[in-house]
Amino acid sequence: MTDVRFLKITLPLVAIPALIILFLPAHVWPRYVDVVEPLSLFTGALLALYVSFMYRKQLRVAFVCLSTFLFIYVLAIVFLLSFSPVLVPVLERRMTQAEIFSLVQSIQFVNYAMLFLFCIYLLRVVDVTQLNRTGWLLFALTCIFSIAVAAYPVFESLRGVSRLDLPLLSRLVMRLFDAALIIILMPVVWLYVQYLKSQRQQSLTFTVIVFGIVFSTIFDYLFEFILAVFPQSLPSGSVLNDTIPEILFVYGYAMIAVGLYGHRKQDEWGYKAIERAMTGESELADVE
Amino acid sequence: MEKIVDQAWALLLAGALKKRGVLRPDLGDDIDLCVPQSRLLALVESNPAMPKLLYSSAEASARRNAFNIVRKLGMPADYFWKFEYWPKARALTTLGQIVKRVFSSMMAQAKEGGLEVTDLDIDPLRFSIKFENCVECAGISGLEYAICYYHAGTFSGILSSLINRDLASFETACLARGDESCRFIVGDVKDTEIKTGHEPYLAPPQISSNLASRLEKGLSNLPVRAQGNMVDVIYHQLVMVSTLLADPQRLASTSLEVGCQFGRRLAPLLAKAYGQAGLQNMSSYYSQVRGLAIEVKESAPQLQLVIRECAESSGGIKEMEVMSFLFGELQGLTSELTGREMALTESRFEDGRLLITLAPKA
Repeated sequence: MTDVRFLKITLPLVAIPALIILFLPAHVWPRYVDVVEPLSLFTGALLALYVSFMYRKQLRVAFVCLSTFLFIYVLAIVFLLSFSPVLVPVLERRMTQAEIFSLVQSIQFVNYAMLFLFCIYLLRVVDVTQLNRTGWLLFALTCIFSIAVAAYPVFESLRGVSRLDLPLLSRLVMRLFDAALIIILMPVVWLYVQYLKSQRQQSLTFTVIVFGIVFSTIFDYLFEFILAVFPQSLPSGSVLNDTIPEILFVYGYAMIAVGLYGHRKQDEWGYKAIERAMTGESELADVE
Repeated sequence: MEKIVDQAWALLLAGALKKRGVLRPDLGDDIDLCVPQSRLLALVESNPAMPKLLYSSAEASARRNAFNIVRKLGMPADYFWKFEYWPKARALTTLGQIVKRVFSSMMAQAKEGGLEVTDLDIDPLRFSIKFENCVECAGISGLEYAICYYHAGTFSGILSSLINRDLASFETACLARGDESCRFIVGDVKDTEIKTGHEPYLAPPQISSNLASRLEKGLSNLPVRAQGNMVDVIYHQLVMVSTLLADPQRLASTSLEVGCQFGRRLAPLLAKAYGQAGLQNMSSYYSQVRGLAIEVKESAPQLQLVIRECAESSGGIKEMEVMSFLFGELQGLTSELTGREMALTESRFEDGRLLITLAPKA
């Protein structure tokens, strides 16, 4: 196995559990999502922790932060955010809706802090100043695009920002956080693309992890953006309005887990590839 | 010249993969290690810049080829991604395994010696390397300084290419100094401690070895290391080309001169070892060390040497610069053995044989 072969096999394969959502009956798919989403996130959390031991200094901290982010996210989904949250009925007996909402928001802010810490440590390791002119141009386009995608559907609310209540304000801040995340992470992906043809590539599996985070963040907004711009693209009340974002989330989380697994196994696979070539089991690769 | 080096590296890899054909059907692909050793020593003794030239050429060649080799073998290009953030245990295990499986195998197959990364630190970056049965110095004794410049450069180049960092190395123990094995330290080229070891290592005070003693050992077939006295001709080629890479034309003319002096020093040793008449000693010598098969055609006052399976040209090398030391050596040898000052007048390849004409100097 090589990392490229692994990704070629698994990335299409993990689309299956995501796409299953489309074919499940209306009363089943929310339960399915309630199981699959936390499961893929939990797998990712464990793998990120496992991967953190492969590194030291900033990279170790980055993966610990990613693991913490994913783990908190699992707990948040299971207890508070899923279609059948475990904790909400209990909380509803003791707290008002506003208090519960504040609790959820607080957890989300803490979680975002973890993800931002991951990004900060990441940027201390991956030198994005190596981006070439095309890379910087793509970066500028990413900034415009991600802010537009995150802000457009709620643009009307932004006009009256001084009169916003706390829940709406929090929602806006979250969307802007997401836009900021994409802006921070996309250069890592562009850097990989830039070095794709060079002898010294950036890490493929690491780029898949980062792209998984970007994917699960941006494509939900992109879908929302498309619906806001072309409202007629889906009939009103269509179940796809709800299932497509869930498919994107599940696939994005699965992509993170797949990238992490590939990253963890790279040492072993690389050595085995060499061993096979040295013993004559495989042919030498064509290298320019 | 770079092409010769790259081809030599490819042949070393093919050797390790057991996919290499025979280069010299009659003499075989091994040569007595006293040949490359004595030539290197002669060059180092005569040119104080040679350690640096040899090191730099070996490093550049290794750097260019090592990464290509591991990529050909299937190692992903991002295998050592962010090596500086790896914990020591992972770095030592992973890098040690790759070095052992690929480069130690290649060197063992070529009978260069036993390479092992014995220790590694990440911060600051330090690789400790042990090289047993070193082909570059086994059998040489009584030196004050370590002399394995070719391997110091090669190890630095291999590691530099794998982890994509600029590294430098120096030797801390050497068989030629009486140590048990050769040992090297490799580290970041900008590291002060590395610089402190590296710079004086490549600028030793005048090295003067007992070359005659080493050659006598070779001629008497005394075992000089556990791995035997032979080494792959490809190693010999790599070493000889490395002495020229920096400036092939100028260094070839230096090699010719040094070779000539070396040939003169070699002649009495051959007469003592074989006790034969004149030029017959030369044929016996090259046959014994498996340097080449030589046939001498005397057509007074000229000498024509018909050379087959020459170590320097095996594998289809036609560049005459690579043969410059040998030409000088033949010139010096024939001068001493015939009692006339001989000069090279012609050299050419014909039907896979190297034809050399030597004529008395006017």
